[in-house]
Amino acid sequence: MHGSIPFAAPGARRLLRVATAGSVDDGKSTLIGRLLLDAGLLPDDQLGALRADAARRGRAEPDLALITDGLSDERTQGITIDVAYRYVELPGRRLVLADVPGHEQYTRNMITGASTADAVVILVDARRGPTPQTWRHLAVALLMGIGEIVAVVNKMDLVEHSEAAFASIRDAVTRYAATFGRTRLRVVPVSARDGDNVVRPSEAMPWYDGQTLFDLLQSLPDAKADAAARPLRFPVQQMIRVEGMDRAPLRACLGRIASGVVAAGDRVVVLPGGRAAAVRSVEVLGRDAGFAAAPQSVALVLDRDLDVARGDMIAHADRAPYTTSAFDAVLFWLGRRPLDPRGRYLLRQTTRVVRARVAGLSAGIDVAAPARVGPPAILEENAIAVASIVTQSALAVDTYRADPVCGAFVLVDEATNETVAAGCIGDEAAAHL
Amino acid sequence: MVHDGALAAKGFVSERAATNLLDCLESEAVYVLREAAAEFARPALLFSGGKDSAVVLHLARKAFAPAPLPFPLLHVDTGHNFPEILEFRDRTAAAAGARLIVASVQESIDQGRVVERVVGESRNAMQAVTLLDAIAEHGFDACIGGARRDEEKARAKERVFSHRDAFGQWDPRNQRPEPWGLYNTRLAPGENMRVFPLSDWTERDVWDYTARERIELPSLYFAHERRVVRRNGRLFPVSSLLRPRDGEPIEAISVRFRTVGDMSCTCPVESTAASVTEVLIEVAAARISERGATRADDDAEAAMERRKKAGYF
Repeated sequence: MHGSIPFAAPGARRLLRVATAGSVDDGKSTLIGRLLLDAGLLPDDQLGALRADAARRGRAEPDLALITDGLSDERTQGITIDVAYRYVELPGRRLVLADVPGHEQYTRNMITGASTADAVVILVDARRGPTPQTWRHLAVALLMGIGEIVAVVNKMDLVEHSEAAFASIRDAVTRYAATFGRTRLRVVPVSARDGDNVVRPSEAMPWYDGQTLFDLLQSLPDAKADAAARPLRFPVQQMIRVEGMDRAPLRACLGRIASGVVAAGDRVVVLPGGRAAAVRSVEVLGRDAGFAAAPQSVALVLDRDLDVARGDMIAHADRAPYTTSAFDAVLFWLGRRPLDPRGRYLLRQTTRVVRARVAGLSAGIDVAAPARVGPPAILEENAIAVASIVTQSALAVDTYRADPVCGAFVLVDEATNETVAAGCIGDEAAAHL
Repeated sequence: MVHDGALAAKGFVSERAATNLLDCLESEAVYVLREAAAEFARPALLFSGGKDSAVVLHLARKAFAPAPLPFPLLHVDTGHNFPEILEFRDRTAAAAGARLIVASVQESIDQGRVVERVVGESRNAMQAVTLLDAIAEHGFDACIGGARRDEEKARAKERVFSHRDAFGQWDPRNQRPEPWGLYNTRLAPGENMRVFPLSDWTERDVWDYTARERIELPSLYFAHERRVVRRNGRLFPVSSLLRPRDGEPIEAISVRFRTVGDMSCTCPVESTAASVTEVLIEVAAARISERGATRADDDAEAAMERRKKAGYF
């Protein structure tokens, strides 16, 4: 048991975001409940409430799924409605678990849960193997370029802990990932109900010599610090007035560094206009720091009073992004109404919002095959396609592969205010298909 | 010119600048606060005088410094607040140079907007009416709050930018996806957004950050002697709203509050933690969840969910 968590200096701890996904009835809520229970991470009052609930129902074992299912509709229908976030304190590491529901109509939540994840855990039922929903979640994780993908084969107790049953699922998901050009995928056989290979190693599956899920989550590499190693991208959130040293009024650009490092003296351009300036000072929340790195929130003061506004992008003059009003993208359609080819949408990329339309679809992505197929006549909810986007005014963009912050966007339907699509600029992610 | 690659290669930027947990959480919260200020015409910061809202206020001051706070503070005063909290609220708002708007549940009762069935009963559920009235009166389009996802199951499902319809209702089945922090802030007339910069913070983070930033909190959060009665394993503070029952023994013991709500329903825990550091050690070792220890009004399953759907914070 990992009962008490050592008291560590806050600076020593790191954040790891993990999205967990699976089809309905794959036992995801049970798995997370088991993980928290066996790792000793449940507070005593919640444990007491679970035992009381089990006693009311006349059961010996607590219903582990109750640990995560919070809404009354979920309890009555036995399903999970929306992404739930859990915070798990491990020695030296904070896990943020984004628990993504498996019900098909809520697939759009996978996008929300996975978009900022460092790792994705996808559950597969050992009896029925991968379902269309498994492939969909796996495809989203692969297309979004999630760093670590872990397939967890659950309910091994219901297939007599058979190594052959596990191997066939492992090979299927590995083959699937390879189609997207991904060679490394971790696969773990577990029984969430009995706790096998969740926190403690399984005695029933001696043929498995890999890590338990808990050990794996503890040992996954830290969220990569590569955001700071990319070229500078500073989307401007807002401008404020400050007083300069010579009491001349100056304007400071507020924002969070999406990528890279910025230092006083750097020569930058403000895009999409392209005007040049030098950085006079870099202030990190009130402290003149001289330099700062992604993902810090800062205030930049430039050496001249340019007309900078929310939605502008500041980059180093010699490593600037593309400025364009037309690009291809992998588009995940989330709207209840299908894409209207003549419709105008609002496109938000970083802090910039422009009018946009989907000029055409060049391919569809069949997630079951998986394969690039002909463009669909109608792009419906949950469908994925390669699309040509045209915007009313220019954007400073990167491909999603080069910079996942500046290569991502959403489309909002102006009539309904619904977020109808998420997109990744460029089609490299689908290029292997 | 300093090339970004050169600094990153030295290694000290990513090591020193931005990778520790509190820095990441702070940076994220500031990003959210700036988004709210930039995207909404009339945002307000819900300021209760509790620790979470004190942290949000501190973050907001840092986010816009040296410019003044770009939104007023709004407090929904139930009339059952601890006097220490009201004193702290007024003093802190003044120190921040912020405009403080107080919306009073007592006024809502006096005007017949809500009905108090039993004098002294919990006014937790009544706050929603007062809040929605204040939103309408002042035309607020966004309310920034200190709620955290680790507090409670219904909150664990809430987005950072959480949409409320024209009736102030939260629809958990119809939340907007918010991938990559690309928030959809568009509202139809009468609709409202709740914004939660501390979504990914835990109770412990709040205390770690309070210690690091030397944020002042109300004295209730630290050990003090208080007259309490014991009911169902919880301690209840004796006050004008909560009198001991016949024969119920009153004890004077050293306690502190982990959360602060109404005097009628907030329970302290036994504690001798008198400083931020001592509280931190206590929080890190706690085996009882925050609300489980301290809220007598959260007993019923889905109580929070019902309140949220009705327009509660």
